[in-house]
Amino acid sequence: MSGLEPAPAPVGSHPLGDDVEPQKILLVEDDAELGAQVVQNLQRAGFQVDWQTRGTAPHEDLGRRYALVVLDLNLPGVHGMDMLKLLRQHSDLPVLVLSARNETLDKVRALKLGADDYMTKPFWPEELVERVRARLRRPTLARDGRIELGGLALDLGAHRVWFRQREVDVTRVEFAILAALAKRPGEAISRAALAEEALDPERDGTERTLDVHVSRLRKKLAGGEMIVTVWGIGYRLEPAKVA
Amino acid sequence: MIALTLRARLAVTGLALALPVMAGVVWGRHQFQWRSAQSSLVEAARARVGESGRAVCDGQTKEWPPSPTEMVMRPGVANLGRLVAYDASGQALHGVELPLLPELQQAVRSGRDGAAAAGDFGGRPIVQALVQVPWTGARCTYLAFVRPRPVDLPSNNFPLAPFVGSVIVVGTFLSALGPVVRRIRRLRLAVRRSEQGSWLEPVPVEGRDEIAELATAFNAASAEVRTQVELQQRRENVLREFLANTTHDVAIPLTVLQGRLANMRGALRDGAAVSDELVTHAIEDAHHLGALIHNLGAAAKLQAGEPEIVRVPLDLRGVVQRCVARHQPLAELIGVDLQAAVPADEVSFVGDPTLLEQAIGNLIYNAVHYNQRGGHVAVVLDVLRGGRFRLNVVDDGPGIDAAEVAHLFERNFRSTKARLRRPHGRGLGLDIAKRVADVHTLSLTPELPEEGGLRMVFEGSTS
Repeated sequence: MSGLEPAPAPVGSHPLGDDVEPQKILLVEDDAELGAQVVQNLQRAGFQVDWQTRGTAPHEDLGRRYALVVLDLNLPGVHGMDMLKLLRQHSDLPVLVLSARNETLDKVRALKLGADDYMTKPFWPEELVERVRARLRRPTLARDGRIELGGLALDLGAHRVWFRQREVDVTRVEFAILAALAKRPGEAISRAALAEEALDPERDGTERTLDVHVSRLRKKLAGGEMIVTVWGIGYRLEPAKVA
Repeated sequence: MIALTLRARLAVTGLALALPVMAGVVWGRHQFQWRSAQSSLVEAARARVGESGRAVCDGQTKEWPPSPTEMVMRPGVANLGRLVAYDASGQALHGVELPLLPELQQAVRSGRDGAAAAGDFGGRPIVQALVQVPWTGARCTYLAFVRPRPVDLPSNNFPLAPFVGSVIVVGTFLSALGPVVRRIRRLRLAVRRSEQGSWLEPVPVEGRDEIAELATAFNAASAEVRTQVELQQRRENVLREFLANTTHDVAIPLTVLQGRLANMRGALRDGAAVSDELVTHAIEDAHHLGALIHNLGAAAKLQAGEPEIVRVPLDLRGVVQRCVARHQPLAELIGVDLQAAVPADEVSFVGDPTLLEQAIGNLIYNAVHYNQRGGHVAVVLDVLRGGRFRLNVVDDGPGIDAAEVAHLFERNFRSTKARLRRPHGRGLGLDIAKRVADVHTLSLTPELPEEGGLRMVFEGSTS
């Protein structure tokens, strides 16, 4: 494959659901076998992929056509670093750099030129897919001081909680714990961080106290399956379980 | 171009500069003295002309002796000098046979009223001072005052003797430069010796002058050369060791991987199913190979020391997330639950991201690799009060015996449980993690939780 060509049709489902237009990714990789593997894995993960095997000066409309670029550095034609530099002159498109050299200065230079992340070879396909997903994951937006996740809604200013359209009576500490989890859904948050956020260190700020508060919160949220205990860490709010 | 020694070059240069100067000075001084003497002679001649010049001019008296011998034989009279009359063309009158010296003939032709010159008369040195007579109607035009040449009168020839004396003085001066030249020669020989000894031997520093400064500067330069050479040698050694280790360490897991792939191919040829266990092990081998190559690279970097270690501002959250993402596929393959938590806000630190990722990655790799299906690994980055952070890598794996904790960071150490669970391995990972912690002024502490497993704790200050 040479130049810019659409890769074969995707075989997986879209990461945000079947009814959503697949996000398009541009892969710039000159190695035929590695490129084919990456294309296959990204498509299996539900992304549309265009693959080009030479470094070229990026078009100005790249930012409108793609959600992310996976960019190898050692390319025939324009070097990956130069492509990145040219791209950053007109676009904030997320760029994930692939490098065969595990050299700090290469990484630092790539990040300085505007790369959003880097991966060194060898890597597992799952790692690449996860890094792409992480880069494209949209942060939770607190609009007008409100967070809404499925059946869960929080008013950050008024300290009020609704679950399945019914208001839930929570204490100040319970609200602080829930808000901290809801601001970063799907991410594990350590007990220490939650205790720092929600408990008063002058009174009873131990992590054991935190567990008691979480236990009460779970009961108030109809069983609380959405708040998952993460071994060795703390807790996580599972968006999929906030129905 | 002729190659000259320093001494010869100094002599040639000195003479080339000194000789024209000396010649000029000697000649100028001589000319000044001669002009002064000429003026004195002319004045003396005028005085004599005032006394008895008219009679000599008119031929009434003849003062000039018949022969030079007479002048010498009667020195008292001779030293006073004699007057001789000349016509306008410079010819001697009254039968005297004493021609004017060539310089005086020139003075006559140019119409000068007085001049003096030195010359010979019958082999005897004389001086002639010619003056124009002050009278009118006289028979002569000029009167020359002639006398034996005084001993102290300078010659009008080039003063060879003072010049030769000056040359001797310059030669002596150049000879006096001998010790300096010898010191420079010794310095040159010392530099040659130092060069033959790979710049290990410093050159001696004698005295406190410019040559001593030159020797000191050379020693400083050779010290810098030695430092660079040592650095280069260290890098070469590291590279050599890296290549040797890579060849040795990669060969074993690669052989194992080749064996597994051969078994898979054999099974496929026989129409048998390839076992999930076999594929899992092959993938683990590949992951192990990747980790090993990165570890050997990190070991080489640590061995080379500064300036190979790069320090840049970074967010530790990104480092942790990259490490966890890298090991997530392995954890899923083995069936170990790998989870991570980082703070919401940036955790700033200054360090080498490649080394830090390798160190943290090694801890995660060990925690996953030595765990078992259904096990857990948690990587937790927390910000502490007082601008500090703590990174825990905790697992519920086999842990280690309390007695082995003290040896955990020794290179090539592998705990008994690790050996039993995974026979292959080199004990490189924790050694690298500890060395990375040390170069970043971080503490790395193993803890044995009551509930089992192992907790490795990085702690340090944020930037």
